[in-house]
Amino acid sequence: MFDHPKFAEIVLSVCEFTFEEMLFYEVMMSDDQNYVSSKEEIILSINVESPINHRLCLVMPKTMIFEMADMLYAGSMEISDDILIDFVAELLNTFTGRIVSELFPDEKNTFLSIPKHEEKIPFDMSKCRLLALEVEGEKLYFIAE
Amino acid sequence: MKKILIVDDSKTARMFIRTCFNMCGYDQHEFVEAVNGKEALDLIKGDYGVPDLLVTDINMPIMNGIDLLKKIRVSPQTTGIPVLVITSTSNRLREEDLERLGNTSVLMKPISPARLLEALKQVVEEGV
Repeated sequence: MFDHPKFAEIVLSVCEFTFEEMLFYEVMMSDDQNYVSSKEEIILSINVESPINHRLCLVMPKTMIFEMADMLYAGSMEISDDILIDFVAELLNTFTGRIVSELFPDEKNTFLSIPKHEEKIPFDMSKCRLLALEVEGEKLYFIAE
Repeated sequence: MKKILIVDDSKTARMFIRTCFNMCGYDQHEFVEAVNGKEALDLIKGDYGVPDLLVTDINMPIMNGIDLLKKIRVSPQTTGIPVLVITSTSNRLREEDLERLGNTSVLMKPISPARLLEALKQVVEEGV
């Protein structure tokens, strides 16, 4: 999947569309494509189970998620870590569904797993495709196994 | 006041759907939430009763949205409920199957107030 010639272009366009539609944020490809681990980040993975088998990860800094979740919940509740995890899970589910639909437009049976919270990136990074995107000067990472 | 039942395992998704409804002028209606198809069915069979509109995700643990829709379409009490299915993947065959069950419209995530209004018009006002 990540060796598809338009993979990066599709991920960027899906992220741009999703962030703009849901949250009114602009997204761009980061000039720096290196991943730097941080304790203040949240990692979720999802399995694409049909039409192909792949696992994808979304890594987002807590500060970025907090700001977005706070805007959505508009002060109606305290933004806990569980809310932040749920927020990233929903974004990952939305991104992945759209990416798979763009990569396989004629596929009639697509199936995704429920997103799973991870303590660390569950992949061998040397065998992954990493895309670093930027929102409001902060980086988020989309990683495909 | 209409009863709108939102079924999604993600709190964020439920909140986002409610925000879109509010932006579409539906803020005066009664919203109730369920985290999966089984919880929604229990609500419908219980004191809550039959909603005027059911909004459901597909991919949920315990009971998914497709099984929920099939169950409500076979019961005479619930067969006519307008249903809006919100899904993360585009699947034409599944969408056609769902829409064939009647009074059902399918919307791909992320939803926006404009697209929600369009789908609501189709499923509630015109009847699919």
